[in-house]
Amino acid sequence: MAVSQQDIIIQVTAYLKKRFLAPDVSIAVADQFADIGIDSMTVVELVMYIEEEFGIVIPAEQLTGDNLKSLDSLVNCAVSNQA
Amino acid sequence: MKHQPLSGSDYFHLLLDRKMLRNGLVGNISRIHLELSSDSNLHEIAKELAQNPTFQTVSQLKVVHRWPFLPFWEKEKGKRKNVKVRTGLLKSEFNSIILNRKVDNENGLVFIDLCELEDGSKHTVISMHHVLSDHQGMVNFLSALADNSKTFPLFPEVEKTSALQTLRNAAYMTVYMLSRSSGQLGTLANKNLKPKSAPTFKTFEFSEEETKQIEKNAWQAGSRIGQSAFYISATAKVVNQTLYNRNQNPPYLWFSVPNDQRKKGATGHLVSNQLSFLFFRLNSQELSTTETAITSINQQVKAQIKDRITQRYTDLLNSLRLMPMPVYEAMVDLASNGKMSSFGFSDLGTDKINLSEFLGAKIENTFHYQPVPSPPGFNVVVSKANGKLKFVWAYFDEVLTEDEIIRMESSLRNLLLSVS
Repeated sequence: MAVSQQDIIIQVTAYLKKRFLAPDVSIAVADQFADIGIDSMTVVELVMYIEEEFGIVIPAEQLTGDNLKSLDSLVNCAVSNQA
Repeated sequence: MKHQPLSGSDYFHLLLDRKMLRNGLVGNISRIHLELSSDSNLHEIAKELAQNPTFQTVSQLKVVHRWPFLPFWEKEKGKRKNVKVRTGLLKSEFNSIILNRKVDNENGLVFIDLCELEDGSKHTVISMHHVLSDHQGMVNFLSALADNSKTFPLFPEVEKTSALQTLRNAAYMTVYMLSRSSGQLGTLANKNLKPKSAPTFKTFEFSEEETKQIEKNAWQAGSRIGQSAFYISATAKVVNQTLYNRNQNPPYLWFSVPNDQRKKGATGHLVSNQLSFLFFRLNSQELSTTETAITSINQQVKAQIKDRITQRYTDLLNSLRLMPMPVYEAMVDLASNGKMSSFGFSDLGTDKINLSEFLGAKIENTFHYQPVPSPPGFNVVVSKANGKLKFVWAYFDEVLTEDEIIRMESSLRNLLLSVS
């Protein structure tokens, strides 16, 4: 069954906060990852988290700067690849 | 000051320091060099620094180790005068004295030189022992020096972890390290090399146009999330080619890449390294093209993320704080037959030093000089500032000849800029 965009955002945000963000730092869906200091290694982990948690594989050709710049763009890209 | 333990990464940097001192080097020291405008008043800057609370606090810190307890930070009583103004310096003296200044636990782990050279140019060099801080900490320190009103916590918060889990992870990583890196790794330096001189730093910058092209090439070559894999593979290929030209054909290159473990979204603390590492091994088949090297790097990154290697390695480093230094050194040597790694590599990403002025003086240029452990005696730092990609190579003349460096630079440019 397809997972809703909102559910993915909630879970990825929770994972980000637990694993990577400093205490008291919040992230909005449109925030640019680079502005919060989220580096490429962290983005790789997020892509892998989405793959493992939701079974959504983002094809290599879609791993572009535009698709990976914020939670919004990453989750949109993931949702568009749901089986 | 409450006893703050060193992090595992701090203790590891003490180990590197020990190895570097043994090889006759000045130690594991990072430097930031600010080229200032010629109308800067160095004595005024020195006066301000002497009153700067952050500078005073950090220069009073020292490492205390009372085995079998964890090593910890202690603040010395009394002020330290770890700032010096020098005038009339020759460029050669600047390179050999200032860019080779020793800082140590006895005399303070940080020192600031303010220099006027014979040609009238003015410079600030901040020399900081790597046990004190990682790159982000050094950037924070510089911000606090430049602006008194900026404050940072001195140390990170110590996270509570399960001792059993830490020991499990440490055991896992010990087996992992011993099984992955053996004495057969290819390296440019002889393991017993004792360089006679200070390291040479070679900086080369790409234009904005070139940088855009390189980033496009990185993506096309398979480096999809960030460009690090592209830069690493090009560096590894260049090192491998140099070894090949020396009639050496090592079974593989082996190296580690630091991974920033600081929490994101806050600038964080000043003192204590929070680094872990990812480990890479590339054989000659994988090094045949940039694309094959990137494919292998991508697979190794994914496998290590799944295996939580960075977290586990942090636990191993934390556990090793309990080891007396000679035992620690013997363990590390056992894993790599004393060769450590094929080369050093760090990608700092976008340059975080965002200063146009330093205590009233205009900054005209900024350089980072990384420590160069020997072996391997060749260290690469990549960063990007104002849309321009910059590589800093640090090496010893005993490790690479001038001819080899010229050939390596030309190869690297070609690998990064050519579209396959």
